[in-house]
Amino acid sequence: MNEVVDRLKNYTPARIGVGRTGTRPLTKEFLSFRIDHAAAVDSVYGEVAPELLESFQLFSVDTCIETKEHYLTRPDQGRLLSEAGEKMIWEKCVKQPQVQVVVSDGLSANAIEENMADVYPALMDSLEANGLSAGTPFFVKGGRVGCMDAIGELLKPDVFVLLIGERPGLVCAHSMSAYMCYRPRAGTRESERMVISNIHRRGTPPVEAAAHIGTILSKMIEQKTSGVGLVM
Amino acid sequence: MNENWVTSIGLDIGTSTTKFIVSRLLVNETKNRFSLPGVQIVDRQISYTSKIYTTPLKEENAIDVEALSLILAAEYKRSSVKLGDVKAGAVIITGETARKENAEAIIHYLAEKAGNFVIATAGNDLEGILAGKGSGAQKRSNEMDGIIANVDIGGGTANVALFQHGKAIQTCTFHVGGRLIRLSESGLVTYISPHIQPWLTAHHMMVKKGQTASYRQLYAIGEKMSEAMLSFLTGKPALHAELLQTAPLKKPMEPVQEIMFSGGVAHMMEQPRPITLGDAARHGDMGPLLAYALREAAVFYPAEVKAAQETTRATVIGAGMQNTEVSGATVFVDEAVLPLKNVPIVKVTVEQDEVWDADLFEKRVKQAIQQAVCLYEGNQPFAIALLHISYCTYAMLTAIAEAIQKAFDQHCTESTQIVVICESDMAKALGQVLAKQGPPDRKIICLDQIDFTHGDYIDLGLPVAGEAIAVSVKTLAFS
Repeated sequence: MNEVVDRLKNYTPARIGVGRTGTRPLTKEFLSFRIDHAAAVDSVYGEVAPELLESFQLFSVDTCIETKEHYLTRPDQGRLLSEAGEKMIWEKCVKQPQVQVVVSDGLSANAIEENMADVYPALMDSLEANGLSAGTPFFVKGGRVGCMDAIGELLKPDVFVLLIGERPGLVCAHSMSAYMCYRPRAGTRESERMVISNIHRRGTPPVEAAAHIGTILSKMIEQKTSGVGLVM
Repeated sequence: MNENWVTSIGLDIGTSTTKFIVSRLLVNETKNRFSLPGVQIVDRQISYTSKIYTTPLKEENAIDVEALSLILAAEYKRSSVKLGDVKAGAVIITGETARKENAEAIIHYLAEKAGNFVIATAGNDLEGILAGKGSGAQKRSNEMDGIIANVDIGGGTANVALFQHGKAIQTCTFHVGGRLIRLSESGLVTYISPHIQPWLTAHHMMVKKGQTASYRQLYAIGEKMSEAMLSFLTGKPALHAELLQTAPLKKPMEPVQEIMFSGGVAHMMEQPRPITLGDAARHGDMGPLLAYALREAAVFYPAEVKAAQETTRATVIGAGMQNTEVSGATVFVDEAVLPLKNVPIVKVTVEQDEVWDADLFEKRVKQAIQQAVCLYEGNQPFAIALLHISYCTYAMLTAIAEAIQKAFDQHCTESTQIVVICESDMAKALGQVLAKQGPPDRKIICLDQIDFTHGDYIDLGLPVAGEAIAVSVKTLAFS
């Protein structure tokens, strides 16, 4: 019987077959639950180390978010750039690039720290393999997916890639998403955005996810659309 | 979601019979907008089965290719399959007819007549696995705990494949088959396979060509043969079972919990006991008696016998329906190089005990490629198969690509292509790095999600859905 449960457990990282004592969980399981919960909280409240951003030569801009509480309660403010941020982007970035790559902590700073080293260089290879040229990449602190619209209004890229930390769960606190969109602008519909989600060591393989982004972007440029309208 | 039907044929040329099937494979491409695309074969259907032909032989064990081609031409016509539609499938030459001369003649014939994507293949290990897939043993292994053996008994050999949780874990072959001793209706022995002589001698069973054998004598041979094989499979080898093995095992045998029988002899196991010697020799061999003896003997061994879905046609169904797989959906392919057939697989271990050591890997790649160049000389492409990767970081990816490109620069300068296959989902990323590093005239093919554990050659077809291409992993072991 135990062998069967063990085999079934291999199919999922969910908490199944963890046992109990009386009506309560085992101490070991309870502690591991607390640890995972703490890791999720840490991901949300954590910050991406400036050294990591430097190593990828990313400068950092702010959205209209001031504190983490502000970020959690006001998603709309995470979609807008601060005045200083807008100014910095305008000064430092190539205008109207073919591909604009932006990295943001989103809801998991941990996701960026864990996956950047695998995703980012593989993404650059993928752009090269597809003959695409990237503009000036940078980091957005406290960003939401919709911040690509505000950046799109400023820089007017053909296609946009946003690598952003996902809402952490109790199974994984360092999962990243790659959101893509053709010419994001104020008023972009959600159905125009595309995503490869669940990028982490035990989910969608980071290097392979990044390698596929170039293929999707090429199709967007070719068909001049993205999201549900794109023929894959 | 895109649906895509692929026509596949299967042809099984055995020691005694030849069968042909046509099947359709449904390739399903999942394009969910939140993850990487995926491609799977979701359905396999038989659309045509031929009758069972006696394998046309010229003299002992040499296949009459002309007669075979007539059968095939008629079958193609009857099944109304057009050659151009055939995208996959396998021809398998088995048992004592699996000789190099036969195989070469047939491969030559098929290259002209049977469709460009059909592969020719042979070998007991692969036949055993295909039969286990065709009989339903592989499917059964997914529903149970423990190990199931599929024993495919034809004319010359019994090919055994062990399955656990849907995977073939072991194969072995015995000289146990219906046509190892051939008889006239009066019991006159017309042929004894030299392969069973040592075993017969060890048991002091004196049967000779030209003599008349009694019912009891023949039954005793069938009984002892069955018991030897079954004792081996259930973990307590007895009765000189080792003398019936065609080759020593590569790894120790694990005892099985269930057994499924397929093949021509298995088909006869359902028939009533042969009463007279004439009845027993109705096919001109000891097959019916062996089948009966096997059924009787199986009761006494601790493995449960499960009924097979297919007996006589198990191998051909396995070959036609189950041998084709698809690669991962995100791969790196230079289509100009495809299709590639009979590509030898060169295995290279990436991580030993989950420890990654770039220098060690570089040495292994270098060694493997040097060997491959010696073995396969000149421009013959080979596929580097990456074994054991727990998680591939970008740093590993770069190091793997560098090591491969470097080894090609040093030892394989004439080669115009690099073929890399692996199990984990990483081929597109690896292909892009390989392409970036290497000279532009060196074409890259990099495929993932391929299980190459039980094969030493691979056929690479054309894309069947999105980027995914049809592949067949096989063995080409001719005796």
